[in-house]
Amino acid sequence: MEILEAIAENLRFGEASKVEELVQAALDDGVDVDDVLQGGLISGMTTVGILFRDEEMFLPEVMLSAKAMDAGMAILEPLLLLKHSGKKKEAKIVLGTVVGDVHSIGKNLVGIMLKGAGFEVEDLGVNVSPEKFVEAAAGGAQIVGMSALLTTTMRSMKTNIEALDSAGLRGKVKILVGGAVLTQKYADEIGADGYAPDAGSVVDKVKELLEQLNVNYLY
Amino acid sequence: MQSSFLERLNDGELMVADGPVHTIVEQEKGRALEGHLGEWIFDNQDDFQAVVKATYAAGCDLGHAGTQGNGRYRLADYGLEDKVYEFTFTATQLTKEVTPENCYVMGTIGISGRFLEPAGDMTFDEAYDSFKEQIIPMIDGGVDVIRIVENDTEQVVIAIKAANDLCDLPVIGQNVFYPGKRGIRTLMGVEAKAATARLEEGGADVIGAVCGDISPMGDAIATVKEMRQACDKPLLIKPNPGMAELIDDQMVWPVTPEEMAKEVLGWIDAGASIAGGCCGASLEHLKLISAVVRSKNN
Repeated sequence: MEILEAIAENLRFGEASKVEELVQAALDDGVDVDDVLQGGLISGMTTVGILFRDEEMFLPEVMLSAKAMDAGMAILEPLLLLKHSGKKKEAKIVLGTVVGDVHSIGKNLVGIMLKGAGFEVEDLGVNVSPEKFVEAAAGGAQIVGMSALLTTTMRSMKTNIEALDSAGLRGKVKILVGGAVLTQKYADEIGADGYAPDAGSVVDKVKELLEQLNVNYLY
Repeated sequence: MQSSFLERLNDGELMVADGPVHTIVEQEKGRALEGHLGEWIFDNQDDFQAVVKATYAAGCDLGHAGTQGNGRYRLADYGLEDKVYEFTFTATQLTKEVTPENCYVMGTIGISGRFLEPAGDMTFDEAYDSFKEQIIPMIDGGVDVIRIVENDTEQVVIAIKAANDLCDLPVIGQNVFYPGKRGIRTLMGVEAKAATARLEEGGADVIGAVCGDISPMGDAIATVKEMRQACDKPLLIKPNPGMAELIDDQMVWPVTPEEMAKEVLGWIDAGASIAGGCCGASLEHLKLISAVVRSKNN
């Protein structure tokens, strides 16, 4: 559908007001709200993810695309809730940079990619204590995503996993780790459920983990 | 003090960059990298001075006052945003106290933690004001050289403007580069040549490339060559000794002092005037780098 392609293209170019305009026009034309979401916004952000991974797009452009996505979602969100009332999108992902670390760019990109794929994301920010991760996980998240840029702060990921264990949340919650210093090997050593090397690969990893939990992440 | 730094560089003298005090305090004084560096310096003044002194003894011509995390937005992550002046002034003063005659106290403005509009939400005024807020205590504390490093070249330019509005001290503007499929670029996607030219245009007296993902082997020479093509200012290069790994719960940097020192002549031949090591470079790295620089000066 042309109008959906136009939404995706304008999103890829960070044209927030055009995206707003076209989303509204599509809805006025009678296009189903889920089609606008998938065929317009999510399709656009998927392209952004690929271009970013391939170094055809860079950080500021990704951020502008994220703003365009938010602009479109502001219109769709109330309509989606209305349409799907009674049905719940069960998947929620909590993100945070571990205690002692304030690096946030990678985590923010992960948030952008996950929201762009239609997931609900709660960002706890930086310097997040084990207690806050546990609280957020207990509050209905299926995936806890932890980020660290420094080798020293990376160590606290093990503490976080132990805290989640003690709170009886293992099995109910999947733990995903990432950051420039992280490796698959380290993720395995500390008992994380998953590792993603970059924001571009996180969406597939999250879907894999949600399937392991038998969680419905689509409406 | 101020005119001698630039004069010496313009006369063709080579220098050794500041030591990465934020990682040396971990290596030498057991400071964990959790917690805020500015606060640690404030609470551990003797230990910090000892580290700065050790970097001078290792051959550094510039003394890093450890102020890079004292921007208000970064301090706010720790609830310490009202400490910009106190932390910065104290650290600068402490550094000055141990700085020898022919060396220079350097204040650093580090990564702000925010992005400029339209990609982010920081305005020009917010950026400028936060940089000004850091420069004033540096000046009050006795700084000789102001150094700015940001992921966004445009933020470096704003900080250079703030520095030049407030004083006549020499300013080192630094970019952080990552090599990729499409060349060596900043995190914002700006090519090394363009980012370098922009800093010259913005009024930097010395232009540098530090940290990031630039390997001391190969990448560093390529980076200096690109910078040399893009501007006429003295150049500074300060790569990390690779990216640390956690082995048996200890941080280990892959590039040894000897391996790093072997690269320095290449950097200088490519056009660098100031050479050093960034995050993870030990006192031993600095000593060996310094030996190469001294030999080239004589």
